[in-house]
Amino acid sequence: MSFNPNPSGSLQPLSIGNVVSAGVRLYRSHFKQYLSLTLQAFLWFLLPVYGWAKAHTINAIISRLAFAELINQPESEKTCRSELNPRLWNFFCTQILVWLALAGVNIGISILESIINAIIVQPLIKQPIVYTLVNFLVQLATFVVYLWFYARIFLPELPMAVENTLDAGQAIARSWELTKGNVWRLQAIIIVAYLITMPLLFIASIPFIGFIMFFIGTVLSNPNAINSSEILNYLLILLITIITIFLANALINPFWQAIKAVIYYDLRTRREGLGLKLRDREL
Amino acid sequence: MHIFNRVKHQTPESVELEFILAGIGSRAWALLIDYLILWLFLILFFVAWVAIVGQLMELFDNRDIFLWLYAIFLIVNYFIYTGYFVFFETLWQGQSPGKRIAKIRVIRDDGRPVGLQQAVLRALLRPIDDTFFLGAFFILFNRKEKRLGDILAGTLVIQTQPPASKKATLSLSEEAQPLAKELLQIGDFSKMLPDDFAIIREYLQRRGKMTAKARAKLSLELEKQVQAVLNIEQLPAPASSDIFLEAVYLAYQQQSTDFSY
Repeated sequence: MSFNPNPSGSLQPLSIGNVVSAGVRLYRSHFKQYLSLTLQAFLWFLLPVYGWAKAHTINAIISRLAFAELINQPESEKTCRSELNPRLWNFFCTQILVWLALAGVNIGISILESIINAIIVQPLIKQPIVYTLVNFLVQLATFVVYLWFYARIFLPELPMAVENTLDAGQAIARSWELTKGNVWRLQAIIIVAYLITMPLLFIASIPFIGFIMFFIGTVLSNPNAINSSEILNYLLILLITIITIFLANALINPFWQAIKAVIYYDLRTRREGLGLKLRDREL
Repeated sequence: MHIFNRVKHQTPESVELEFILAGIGSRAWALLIDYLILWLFLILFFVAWVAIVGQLMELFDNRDIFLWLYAIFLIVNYFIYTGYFVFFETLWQGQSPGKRIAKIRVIRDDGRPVGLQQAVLRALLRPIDDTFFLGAFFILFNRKEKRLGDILAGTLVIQTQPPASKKATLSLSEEAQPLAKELLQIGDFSKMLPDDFAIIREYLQRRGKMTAKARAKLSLELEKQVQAVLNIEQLPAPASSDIFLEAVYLAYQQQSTDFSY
């Protein structure tokens, strides 16, 4: 089965929308496989440390399988597992590093934001329109800066899974190198991909929204009405909410791993001319 | 297997047209851009309205006027919301600013450009498609990726084809030209196929955005492959892989124009 990600069949890089559509399509054509892998990952995640490492490895397996599909060299899950399982702790370290880096970025941005707030935004409080506008712009800038860093270290598990990079720092450096000059596109891709998951997240949060509205309604009308049987009801709704949110995230996770594979594929096409070679001829 | 859905349509003249459907990603991207622009319009309008109302209220000091102005505000708001898409999709043959950037277009089921009627129907159904993300589910699960507005108006959203003769913006170095002449002497260009040429052109067009390391490796590999195809064992003078590939690009073009005479 050949999987041509490009609509026109040429070697041109993909457009923003087509990266996302390709991710959706890849996921749909391997729905059962990717979803069952994700469910395994989620179960592993309940076990601290070793389970987390296992879960990240399984995520990397999904991405690697998706990438193999994109370069027309499909791989069996078994080979992929046996290749990546020994690198369990490398994947874990990479993820920890990414978390630390993003946490650092977050703290840095927060400090900067509060300084800007104190110097520029607060003095404007007497002019409500200007204040709102400037405040909005500062928030927007904060978001964009954070997303900039997020995009640059978005896919370290792919070089690690595909290129046999073993060092966590190297994998992140590779993500940084590949994304250079493509950050705006990546930010747009991430936002659009997130937008597409909204319908599912919305459905999953219906019980929760219902719960909140119901709860507020009862408390407002009669604060003394909450008895033990109602609390049981609330707990039940809460449980349902947890399950639906869990299911929605399980459904969404393979989508993100597929998107990462497509982005990685596209970036390697752009930055390294992946696939650019003369066709093999019979001699 | 293709990542993108295709739709075939046979015209009365028995010409078969094939369209590549837009895909959910491009449609979401276009929608995001369009709504950003639309909100900007609506906010500007709101600010203007507040300013005007403030002036008028000072002049008249009458509550009835305020109600009237509020009614006008709601109507104009609605017209901006629907009018935005109708205006652009009619004027730009099925493209709104967002669709232009995302490189997609609305057409009728039979391949003709959309008119006012289709654009209006799509715009009127848009609020329903937006409610609870109904449209997104329709696009995902409908074989022709139609949301309710598309089903009712009989329209498709397709990818616009990239212009076939994209003007090549190749910057070639000066050393390539003389080398090309020599290559024509020593190389067997009849062995080279248009596909091979396309790969070389693709490389020359995109090399500027590649990492230095990958570029060095790739150009060397391409050089080896091209030399094998052209049956060149040794270059007349040492040249970098990039210049060699540029020269092959030039030589192939000259050779094919000579050939046509």
